[in-house]
Amino acid sequence: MNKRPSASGATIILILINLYLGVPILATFLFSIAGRWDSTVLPESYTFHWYVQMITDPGVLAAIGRSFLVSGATVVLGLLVVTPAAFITYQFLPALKGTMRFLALLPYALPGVILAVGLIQLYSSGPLPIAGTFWILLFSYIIVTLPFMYNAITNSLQAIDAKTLMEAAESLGANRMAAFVQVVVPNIRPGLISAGLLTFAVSLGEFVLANMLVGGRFQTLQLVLEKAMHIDGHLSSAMVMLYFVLVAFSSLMLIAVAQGGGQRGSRAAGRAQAGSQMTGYAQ
Amino acid sequence: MAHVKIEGLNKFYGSKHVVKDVNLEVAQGEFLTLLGPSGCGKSTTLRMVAGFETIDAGKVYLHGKDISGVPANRRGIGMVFQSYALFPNMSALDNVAFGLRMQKAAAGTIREKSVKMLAEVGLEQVMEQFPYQLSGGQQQRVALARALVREPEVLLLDEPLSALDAKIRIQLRELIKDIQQRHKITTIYVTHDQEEALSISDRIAVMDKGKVVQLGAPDEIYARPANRFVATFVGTLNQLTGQIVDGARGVLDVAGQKLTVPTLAGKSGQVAVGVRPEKIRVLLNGAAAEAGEVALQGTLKSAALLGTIVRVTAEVGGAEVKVDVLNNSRLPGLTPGAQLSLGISQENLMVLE
Ligand SMILES: Nc1ncnc2c1ncn2[C@@H]1O[C@H](COP(=O)(O)OP(=O)(O)OP(=O)(O)O)[C@@H](O)[C@H]1O
Ligand SMILES: [Mg+2]
Repeated sequence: MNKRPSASGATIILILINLYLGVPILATFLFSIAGRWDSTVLPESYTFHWYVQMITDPGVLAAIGRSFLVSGATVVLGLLVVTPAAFITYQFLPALKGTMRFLALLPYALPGVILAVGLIQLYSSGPLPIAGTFWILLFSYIIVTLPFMYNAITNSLQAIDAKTLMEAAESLGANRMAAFVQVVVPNIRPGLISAGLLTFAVSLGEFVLANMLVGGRFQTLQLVLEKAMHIDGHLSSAMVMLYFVLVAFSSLMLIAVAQGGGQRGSRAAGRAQAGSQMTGYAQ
Repeated sequence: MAHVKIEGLNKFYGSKHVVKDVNLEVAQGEFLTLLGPSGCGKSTTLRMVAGFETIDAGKVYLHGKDISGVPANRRGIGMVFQSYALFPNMSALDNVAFGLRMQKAAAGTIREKSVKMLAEVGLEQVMEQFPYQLSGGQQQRVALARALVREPEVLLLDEPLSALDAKIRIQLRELIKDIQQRHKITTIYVTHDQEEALSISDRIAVMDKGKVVQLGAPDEIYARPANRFVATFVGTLNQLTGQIVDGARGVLDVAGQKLTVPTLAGKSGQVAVGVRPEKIRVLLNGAAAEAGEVALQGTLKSAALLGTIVRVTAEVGGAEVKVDVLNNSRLPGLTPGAQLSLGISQENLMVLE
C-alpha cells in the first residue's frame, strides 16, 4: 500500500511555509517599531516615532498617491488594450498565436535597464517627446506587465472555450460585439481580476524603470523608499510595512470591486475555470 | 422546394480537401443525419451551413434564398454543440432567455416562452440552477431548449449525445426526435454512431473522406448499402470471400464450401459477399437449408448473451461469422467446438465491391 502523507506532515509543511513567508514581515514590523535594539533578542523599547515621521512627511503621501495613480492607470489601460487584443488573436487570428505569445514574453527577457535606456533614446525627442513624464512610465509599465495580462486572459479564453461560446451566442442572434461583451467578458472575469491584481502589484513594486525613466520628476513610493533606506533602517521598515498594508488592502478592494460588479453568476464562471488561472504564468 | 439546399459545397484546410462537392436537399420538417467516421467532414459541412466556416466553393440555400454570405447570427439557424456550450455565468433560464433577449422581445414574453420551453424538455424544476450544477444530460436539454425557443428555421446538432452515457443518450435521443416532430422543425444532425443515425433519422447521408457516398432512408441504407464502406460502417456485417467457380450460375467457393448466389452470375475471380448477423439461421437437428437458401458448415467459437439476443460466433473456413438469434429460440448445447449448420437466404447475401 502506498503511504499517503499524513495530516500532521502536511500541517508541518504549512507551518514552515508560513514561517518562511511571515518571519521577514514580522521582523520588518518589529524593526519599524523598535526604539533601542542593539544587544538583545527583542527590542529594548518600542516607539511609533518612525510611523509618525513617515505619515507627517508630505513627500511620502504624495509618492503613495503617484504610485497608486500610475499602477491603477496601468491596470485599467492594460485591460482595455490587452483584453480585445488577446481575444481577437485567440478567436480570429489563431495563426498569430505563437507570435503573440513570443511578443508577450519579450518583456521578461529584457532587463529593465536596457528597456529604460532604449525608451529614453526613442522618446526624448521626435514626434512623441514624453521622456521623463508620467506617460512614459505608464506605457512602459503596460509593456512590462504584458506577460501577466496576455497570458492570464488567453488562458481564461481557452479555459471557457470562448470560441464555442461565441458560436453559441451568434447562433442565438447575438452579433460579435454583444457576444463578446455579454458572454465572453463575464466568463473570463476571474482571469481579468487576477491579471489586474498581478499587474497592480508588479507596477507598485517596480523600481528600475521608475528610477531611470522619471526619477525625481515623478517620485513613486519605491523611489522614496529607496532613499529612506540610505537614511534610516527603521524609517524604511515602517515604509515597507505601509507598502505591504497598501498592497494587501488595494488587492482586496480590487477583488471586491471586480466581483461586486459582476452578475450573480460570476461565482459560477469562476468555478468553471477554477485552477486554470494559476497554471498560466509558468509558461 | 427544399427547405435547405446544399449545392456543390467544398472546403479546404490548406491543401487538405475536407469537404468534396457535397450536394444535399432537406425538406421542410425533415430529419436528415450526416453519418460518417471521425474526420470525414461532417462537422465542417454542418458548420458551413451554420455560418461558422467560410465556404470555399458552393452555396447554401434556405427557402431558395442564397445564405452563403449571411453572417451566422442572421441566418435564423439554431445550433446544439457536443460540448453543450452553455453560458457558465447564466442560469438555465437565462441561457434559454438569451436568444429572445437578442430579439429584443418584451421581458414578460421572454420569461413566459423560456419557462414553457424548459418545461417541454422537462427542466422546470432546475430553471434557476447554473450549468455547473446540472448533469450532462440536463445541460444538453437546456442547450436544446435554448436553440428551440427562438423557433429557428433549421436546427443543427453536432454530435449532441456523444459526451453522455448510454442510457441518457437513448432517452435524450427520443426527446430530440419527439420535439423535432412536434415542432416539425427541419433538422440536420451529425453523428458517427450508426445506431443513433438509424433510429432517429428520416434520411441518412453517409459520408466518407469528405464525400456523401450514399443518401437514403435508414432501412434502405441498411439493407442496400451502396458500397463496401457503407455496408461495413452501418451495422454489423459478415464478409465471406471466395473464388467464383461457376460464372454462369454464380457459384462461389468459400474455403471448399459452394454457395450459389444468383446475383453473382456473370462475375469471375475473387469476390466478397456480406450478410447481416440477424439474417443467418442456425439449422437445428440436422435440418437442411430451404429452397432459396445457401447452407454453410462451421464450428461454434462462442455464444454471448447480449440481453434480447444471443450473438453466436462461428468459424467458417477460417473466417468469423457472427449470428444473432433471439434469446427465446431454443438453442441446444452451445458448446465451443460443436458443429453448426447455418442457413442464409440468397437474397440476403450482398455483393460487396
Ligand atoms: N480548423 C481546422 N484546421 C485544419 N484542419 C481542420 C480544421 N478543422 C477540421 N480540420 C480537418 O478537417 C477534417 C474534417 O474535420 P471535421 O471536424 O469536419 O470531421 P468530423 O467528420 O466532424 O469528425 P469527428 O467525428 O471527429 O468530429 C479532419 O481531417 C480535420 O482534421
Ligand atoms: Mg465533428
